[in-house]
Amino acid sequence: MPLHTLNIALADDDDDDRTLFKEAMNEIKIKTKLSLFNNGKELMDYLILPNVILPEIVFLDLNMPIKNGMQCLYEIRNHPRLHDLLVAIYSTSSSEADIEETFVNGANIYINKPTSFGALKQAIEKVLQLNWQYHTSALNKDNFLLRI
Amino acid sequence: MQLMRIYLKFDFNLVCKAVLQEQLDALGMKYTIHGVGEIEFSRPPTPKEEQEMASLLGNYGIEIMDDQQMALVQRIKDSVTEWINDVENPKLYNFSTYLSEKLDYSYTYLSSVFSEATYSSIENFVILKKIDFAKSLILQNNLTLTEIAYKLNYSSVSHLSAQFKKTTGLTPSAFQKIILKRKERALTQK
Amino acid sequence: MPIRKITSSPKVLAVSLILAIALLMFLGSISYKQIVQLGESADMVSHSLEVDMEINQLFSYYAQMQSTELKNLLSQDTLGISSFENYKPEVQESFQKLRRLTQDNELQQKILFSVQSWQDSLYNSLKIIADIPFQKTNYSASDREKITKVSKYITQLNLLRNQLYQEKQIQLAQRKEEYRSQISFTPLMTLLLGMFALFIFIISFLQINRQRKKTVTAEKFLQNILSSTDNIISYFLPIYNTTGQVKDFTIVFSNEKIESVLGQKSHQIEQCKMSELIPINFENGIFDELSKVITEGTTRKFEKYFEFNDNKFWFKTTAVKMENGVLTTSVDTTAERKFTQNLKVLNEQLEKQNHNLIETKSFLNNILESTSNTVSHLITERDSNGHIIDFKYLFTNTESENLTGKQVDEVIGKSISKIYPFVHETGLYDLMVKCANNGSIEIHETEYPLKDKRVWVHTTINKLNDGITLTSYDSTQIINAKQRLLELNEQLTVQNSILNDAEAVAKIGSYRWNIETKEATMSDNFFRLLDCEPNEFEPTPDNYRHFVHPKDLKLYDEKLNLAWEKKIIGNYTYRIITKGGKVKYLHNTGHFLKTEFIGVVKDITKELKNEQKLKDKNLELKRTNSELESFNRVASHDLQEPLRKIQMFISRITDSDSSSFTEQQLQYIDKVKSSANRMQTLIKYLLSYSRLSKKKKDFVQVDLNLVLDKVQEDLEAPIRESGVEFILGDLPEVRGIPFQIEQLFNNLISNSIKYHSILDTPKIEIECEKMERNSIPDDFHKKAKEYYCISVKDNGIGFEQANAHKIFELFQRLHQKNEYSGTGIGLAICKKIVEKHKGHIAAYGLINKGATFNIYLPV
Repeated sequence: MPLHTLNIALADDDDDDRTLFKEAMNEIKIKTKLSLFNNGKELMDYLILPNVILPEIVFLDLNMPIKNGMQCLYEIRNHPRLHDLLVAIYSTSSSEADIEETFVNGANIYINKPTSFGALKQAIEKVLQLNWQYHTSALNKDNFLLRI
Repeated sequence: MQLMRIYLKFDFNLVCKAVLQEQLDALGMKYTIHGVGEIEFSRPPTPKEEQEMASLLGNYGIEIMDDQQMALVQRIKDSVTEWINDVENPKLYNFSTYLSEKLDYSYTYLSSVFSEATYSSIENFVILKKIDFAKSLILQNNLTLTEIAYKLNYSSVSHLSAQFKKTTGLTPSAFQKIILKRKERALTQK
Repeated sequence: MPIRKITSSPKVLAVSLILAIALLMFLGSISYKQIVQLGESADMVSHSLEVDMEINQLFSYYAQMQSTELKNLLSQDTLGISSFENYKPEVQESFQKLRRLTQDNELQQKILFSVQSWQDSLYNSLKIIADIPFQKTNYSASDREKITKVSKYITQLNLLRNQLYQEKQIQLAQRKEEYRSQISFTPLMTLLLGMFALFIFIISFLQINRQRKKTVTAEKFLQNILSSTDNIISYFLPIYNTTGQVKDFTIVFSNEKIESVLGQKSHQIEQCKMSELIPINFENGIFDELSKVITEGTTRKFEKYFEFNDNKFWFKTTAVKMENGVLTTSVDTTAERKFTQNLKVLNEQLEKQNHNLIETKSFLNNILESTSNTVSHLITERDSNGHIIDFKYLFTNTESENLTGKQVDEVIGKSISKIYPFVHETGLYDLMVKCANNGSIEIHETEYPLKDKRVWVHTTINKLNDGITLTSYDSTQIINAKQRLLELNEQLTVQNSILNDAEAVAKIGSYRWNIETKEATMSDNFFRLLDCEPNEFEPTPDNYRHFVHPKDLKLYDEKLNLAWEKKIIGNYTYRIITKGGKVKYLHNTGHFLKTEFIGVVKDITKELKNEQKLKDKNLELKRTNSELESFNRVASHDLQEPLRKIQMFISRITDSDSSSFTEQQLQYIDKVKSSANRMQTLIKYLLSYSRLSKKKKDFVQVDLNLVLDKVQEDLEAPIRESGVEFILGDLPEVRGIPFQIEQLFNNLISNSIKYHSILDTPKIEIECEKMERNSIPDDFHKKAKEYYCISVKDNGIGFEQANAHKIFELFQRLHQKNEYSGTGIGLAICKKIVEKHKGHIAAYGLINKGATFNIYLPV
């Protein structure tokens, strides 16, 4: 078994988006274990639990009630245990300013929510691939930026 | 309180090698390090030694792979890194020849082992590695994109830019801007 | 503390320093002298020793001589080998030497003289002894005597020797005493004087240090003044040309106030040249004034006009020569000047009116002077009862011809009723009768039809004997002039009332207040502003004070005091409560003229209220604007969500199993898909369009070359697909928002690529040219002096020039939807971006030849 099971977390307030994301995950080759959260607060509450197994990648929707994606990103980057987490922003916004802002704030990946299921699958696959390469191939994680 | 941040650049190979040497010396066995991912012992280690070695290296996040194929994949990766990082010597022959000669397997075999283990091709990995190297060069600031393209054996700047964009979704300049802004912000926050 | 004062005065300091130096020099010379004397004393001692030695030598010779001879006598040495004669030359030499050594001592010389005589005697007696023949035993008595004689001579000489010694000892003692006295006096003096000099030096040092500290404090004090003053204080150093004339100035220093004029910090402009920073100074004469100060060294005061960055100032400046440069102190007199200007205009108007009046008056005088009177004398004709029945002309002067047109001859001897029958109608006749009867002087003035004209004639009637004298003149012009005066007067009244009305309309009141007579007047409208009838109360400051709002009384009193003490009436606003209880805001302006304050108050209550209203409205507008913006954003953003879902689920449907659909169903699904895609594009563009209105103003220098690199990077795929060739000129840096400038070029280039030529190799040429405002043909609001004209030219399908304006409008498309995938927003965005950068964009097109977009951005 070359790849162990990847732990993935997704925080998105949209029911459909969560479902679609889960379905896409199930259809790709790489084995994953997906945890879903309804908003940023739920995600953060989970992440800061002691002894929790940290996910390899956290997918964050930007526009969420209670705690939005940008806040989560900020908290993750300023938390001693979490600040090395790989964070992928998963949002509808395609404003260049928004995108740059999230990258500058420490996001590794920015995914525009795709408009087709196929594209979603491809995007997730690419992210997981790359993530794996970064974990195993001595690539400089500080420079890991990806925009899909 | 005045906090200070400094920024570092690593030679991962060197760091890994240093760590390996330190730990293996502690073990007291004769060894030779081939690349970063391979160690040759003068005699096969006893199961006890193997266990001790596994725990010592495990402290540094280094795992001993028991699978031959994985070891080979690691060697392919090491060779790719070596090939790309060696910018001084001209590339006399193409990469596939280099790889099969170095590892003494046919390129087809190597590719199939690699793809099976990583869901990705050697070519993809080469690109990834090249772009990673390009990133570090871009951030060094004293090289122009043209020079970087030349160093990394690209036929033109636009070729490099295109591959960069395809791999990262960002243009080289956008990438540079983001990293610079990050550093700037880190400085102003402290 | 006077002593302190004296010690601290720099003159005393200098004097004491000089004193100290003189003392030190004195000490030096004393020491020198001492050393010299010491040397001399040493010489003296060695000299004494020498003398001593020589005396010994000499007298030892004498002794040897004696002993030699006696020995000869005893040993019977007759050969005379060792005779006293042998010693003679040595004695001679020694004697001479001694003489030389003691030549400055008279006593010694004398002693030596006697030594010589005794020596001669010794020689003689020795000779005698030498001649005594040898005898074995006895010597005769004479011989013995001879020998004794020698001994006596020797004894004498020895006595002399002692004398010489004594003398020498005395001399030595004397010198020793002298030397001691000198040597004991000087060290003490040296020490004392040295201490004194050191003391002065220390005092001087302390003094200098204190003075330095004082200077530092004074400097700080000065610095405080400089930074807190309202005046602009600058220091310039002149720059000379080769002929030694001042050609420019360097700004060495300026206080912080300069920032309010030049907008630059004082340290930024230091070391700038005047010609570079404020070239206006070479036109308004300030430079000439400053040069004069430099060349003549005089202090100059001047008031000059100064324009900088479209701000206009008047500065009253005092320039003083200070060391090599000029120190200027400038006061902003713009406001004062403006006010004076307004008053001057008013004054001029008044003067003009005055002048007109004077002219009219002198004009009237002229008429009076130039018109000679007609003088006639008439005699009464009476009936039998003595009643006057008529008057007969006895005399009339030639002037009457001018007045009446009748010759003198025609009139003389005729009765007035016959010649001028109308006198009965005009009442002149009755007056003539009255005058003739009563002797009263009558005056009559009426209109006559004379010389075919109607003429006003003024007549004075005097009784003279039994007749009357008529003095008449043509008063037509006087009457007319009077009429005109009346009219003028009326006009003035009208004007005055207009002024009053104007005051009322403009809600202005004026007042004058004489500080000598303490009299004050207020214009009618001022009273009305207070809801009072004109002159309802005596306009004294105290009476007026009752109207001032209690909360503004403090301000009012302050300003009144200021006016009273310093003769300054500033511009200030205060509230009053009118008689009717209304609160009004009055704005006061005024100035002091000779002995009077002349001021104007303006009721600005309404303006203030309007201003407030405007502010409120602005605020509301801002709010609605931001509401609209956020609505726009949220709407577009939230619209995207369901749309994306539609697209997503459609893709799920088509991906899953398309074989179960009929052909038509597939077609429908396809249509849904393309409609959704199109809607997505529209929303995306709308979003970016609405984002442009955001009021972020982070303008920075943007290098267009880099922008184009970035845009080409971004559009890498379409550029490659279309095979467009770029020809780029050298592009400048412009001030702008980087994102927007990028989007501008991205849209234009995308546009060019989208509508590229299929026949030719597609080309995009981008060039830039700097243009003067006046040389730009396009009509737009040109605020900057120069503009960059950046042209983006392609050889694509172009468009009809008639549509050039249309293409920038929102949702305007020149093509069918299915021909090209435009949204009709791209160019509208371009236009909005350019306008946000205070520029202009224009398009020129030719069908199938290409399109050119000219972007004008301010330099």
